[in-house]
Amino acid sequence: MSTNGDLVELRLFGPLREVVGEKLVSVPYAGLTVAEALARFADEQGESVRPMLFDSRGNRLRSLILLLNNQTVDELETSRLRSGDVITVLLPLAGG
Amino acid sequence: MSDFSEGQIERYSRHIILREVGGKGQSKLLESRVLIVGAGGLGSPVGLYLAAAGVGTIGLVDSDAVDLSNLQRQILHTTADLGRPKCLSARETMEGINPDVCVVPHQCRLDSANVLNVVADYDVVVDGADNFPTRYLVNDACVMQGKPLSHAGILRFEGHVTTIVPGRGPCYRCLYPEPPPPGLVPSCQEAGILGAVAGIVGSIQAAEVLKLILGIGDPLIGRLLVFDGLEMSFRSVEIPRDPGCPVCGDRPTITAPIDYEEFCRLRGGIESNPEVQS
Repeated sequence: MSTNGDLVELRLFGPLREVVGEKLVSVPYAGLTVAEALARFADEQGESVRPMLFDSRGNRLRSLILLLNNQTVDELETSRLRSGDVITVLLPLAGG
Repeated sequence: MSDFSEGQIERYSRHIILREVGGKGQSKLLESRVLIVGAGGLGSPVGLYLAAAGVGTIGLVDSDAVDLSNLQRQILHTTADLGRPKCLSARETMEGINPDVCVVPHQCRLDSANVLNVVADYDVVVDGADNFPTRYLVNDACVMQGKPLSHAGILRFEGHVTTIVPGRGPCYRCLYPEPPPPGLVPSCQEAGILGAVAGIVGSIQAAEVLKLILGIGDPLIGRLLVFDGLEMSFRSVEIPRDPGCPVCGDRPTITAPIDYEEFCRLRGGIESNPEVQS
């Protein structure tokens, strides 16, 4: 059961936005670390999304930029999310 | 300072009356040398604006020919150019806009063998490539030679822009230490691109290059500008330099250009399990 107090937002860009079909997703992830939130999101979204965040061995892709409230996050494993936080996920764009 | 002809004074009058440019700045532009990698969606607005601005020497790298599907956004080329090498079509357009400009075509693909030689001749480099291998290669070469680089990428309705000045902020590998696995991020050919988005993002690159040459304002060093054309919004994200970056870090481990395949192999070598899925 989630309440508004649990909600954080995931802001998606590029191919991730395409696959998920939303640019902003509200998820009841307050209290999780950023790393846990990303893993939970991949679990919930399933196999179309997981390869955009993790490699086949479960390591987070090094081609992602993750932002917490528009700032880069040094402590992905320890920074705990608070209600209203926004995680932004950016992938590089190849097109020119 | 150059001695301007009457025609040049008229042509560049709207620049020269800007206090931040003036005659001195316009001379700098005329004496400057800029390399544009890719004469496509981004390279077109960059090439047009730099030529119009009077950047004296503009190198263009592109090995492709003009295709009908390019013309929806690649505004350096016209229907009459179909099938012609993009370098030559672009040169005609740019020199047609401004005869003060000398366009140097590099009708080739950049690789680890030629990239340092090509980049060495220029003051500033513009990345308008359409693939990750070239983007990493150009970044590495610019860091190794201390050349400022305007980077941008586009897809569908989105664009990213940043300015890389080695020693003053992060490089492309600080942002994205590794390319995404092949096939994960589609190309414009696969996923589409709104033509005007290329124009918006490429025009920002052109403005950044002109600022760098003129030494004015605050370039996008250490900032990634994220453009969302559907929302019509810009977000500026601060990205720090990575002291552990293999190219621009405190103890670089990549000290010569490497091709993409080797880079992928390197990824396998660094990790404990070399069976990297791609």
